[in-house]
Amino acid sequence: MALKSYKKDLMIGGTVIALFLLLSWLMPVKTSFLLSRILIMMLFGTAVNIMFGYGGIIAFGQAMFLGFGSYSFVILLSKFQMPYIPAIIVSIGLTVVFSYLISILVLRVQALTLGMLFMGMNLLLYNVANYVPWLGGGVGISYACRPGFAADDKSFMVFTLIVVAVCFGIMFMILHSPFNQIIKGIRENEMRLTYIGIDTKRVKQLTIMISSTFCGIAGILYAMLNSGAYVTYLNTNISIQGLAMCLLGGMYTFWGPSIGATVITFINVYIASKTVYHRFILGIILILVIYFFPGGVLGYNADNRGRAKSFFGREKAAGKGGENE
Amino acid sequence: MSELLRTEKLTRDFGALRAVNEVDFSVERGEVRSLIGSNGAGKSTFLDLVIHKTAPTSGRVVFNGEDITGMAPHLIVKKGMGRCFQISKFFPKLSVFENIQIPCIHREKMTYSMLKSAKGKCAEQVEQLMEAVGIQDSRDKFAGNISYGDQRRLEIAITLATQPIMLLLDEPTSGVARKEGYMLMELVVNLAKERDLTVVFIEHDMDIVFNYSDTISVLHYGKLIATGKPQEIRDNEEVQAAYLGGLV
Repeated sequence: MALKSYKKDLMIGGTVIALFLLLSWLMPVKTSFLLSRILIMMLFGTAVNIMFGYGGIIAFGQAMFLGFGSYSFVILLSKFQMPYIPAIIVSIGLTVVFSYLISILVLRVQALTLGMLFMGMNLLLYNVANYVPWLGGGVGISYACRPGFAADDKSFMVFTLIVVAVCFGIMFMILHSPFNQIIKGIRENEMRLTYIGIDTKRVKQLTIMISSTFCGIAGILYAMLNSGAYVTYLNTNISIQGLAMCLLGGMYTFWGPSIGATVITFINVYIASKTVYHRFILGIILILVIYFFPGGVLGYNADNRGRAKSFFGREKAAGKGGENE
Repeated sequence: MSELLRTEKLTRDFGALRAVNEVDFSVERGEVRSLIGSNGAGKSTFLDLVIHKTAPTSGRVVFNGEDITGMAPHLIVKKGMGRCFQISKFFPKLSVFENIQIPCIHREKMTYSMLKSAKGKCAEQVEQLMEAVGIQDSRDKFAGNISYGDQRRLEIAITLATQPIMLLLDEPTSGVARKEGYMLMELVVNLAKERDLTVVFIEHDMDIVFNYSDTISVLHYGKLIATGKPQEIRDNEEVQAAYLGGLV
């Protein structure tokens, strides 16, 4: 991949890394916990966007893979006493297998019903985790599972930053590859793709598996951050928040979900600690973005300017082609 | 000339309605064949059965010597059959370039390639195809924003990018001005000659049908009632009574 042609994205990535390092250095130690959570949610949001934004596959149940990654990692460590690195590898492998099985089931239907099937399975898994004692039931499984060299919040933030940066690098490559052109074709017109000679079911299956695997990695990091696997990870609210991250930041862009994840996590953690009206604030932000930036904050282009103008009764601007990234 | 496509007693029922009724149809290589008939005659359904967009109730489809009945549509396309639809099917929020790039990527066996950049991939082939159908000026525009006529051209370019040996076109000139319709048909016929393609097209404009077809087939209430050279169809009393009437 020619790095020169992605200079802008490399600069954005470098700036984000520098910003996180600077913040963790300047701010109190407890801020590093929030920063780690933001990074994990950035990974989760971008992973969801592979399916939702790029592939147009309605992903109402991606928390299922976040939770699955967390639970499998913690269970392997706590109940099977598996060594640390193999536990990480095996839990990623299990997430891949799990996502493969789920994709077989959900791809029997299309569009919105597929999304609902995802949500149904998410709810099913939530209830299993909530009521099966071996899985810790409602209280989950507490287990200190941060790596030894990253036991404190600050060093864990640096560790998370490295893992997330590597994952972003891989996702960036996938989302600028020929395969991504095919994924976008699924979003735009699946039937045309079929009549080009492409097995669309296979493409969708692979898209779901890639997205879910990164959600699972986010889950493993989440378990490390919170020292355990808890049933709240499997909550469908997290799935919906994943979609909101994409919509807020820009679902047709690579960096958009990261902005969405930052805003939503900041509201969920920091604003929520200051006021009980944090969801009200999030609701207002979502409404404003949907009205004035229908393509999300980073999706702000000629079309969206037209939308904003037309809202105030002025003429709509004509759009020109090309993705926003 | 040898036979490229053959259907044997191809039938499709929708409940009590028999949309396509035991159609035996055969197309030679290099031929430009039109399929005519009144609305509801089963023309589009017939093309859908050929490329398995709709499954037949009974009958067989043989393409290039191979039985393709029941084969998945994407596999039929791989055998060399290209399809353009009555309502153009393309990728509206991708640029014209990207629209044609996708089938080229697939043809170059890069569908699942994840480690290379898509930038500039298959650029030469895409540029050639844009030029061949005359939409090079719209290269970077969203496909959904270009004119309807150009969208028809784009769909033809997308289909050509799959390197078909046969083109199935469902009303290629519908929705465009008469002059533009003629230009489109001229384009299709010229491309067919250049690329040694066989064409089967559905059309309601009888001037286009009689000007551009080597052979014409007529469907009436799902039954194939006649196949022949334009003059034979013009003179066929059954066709006159069932469809053409005072049209030509």
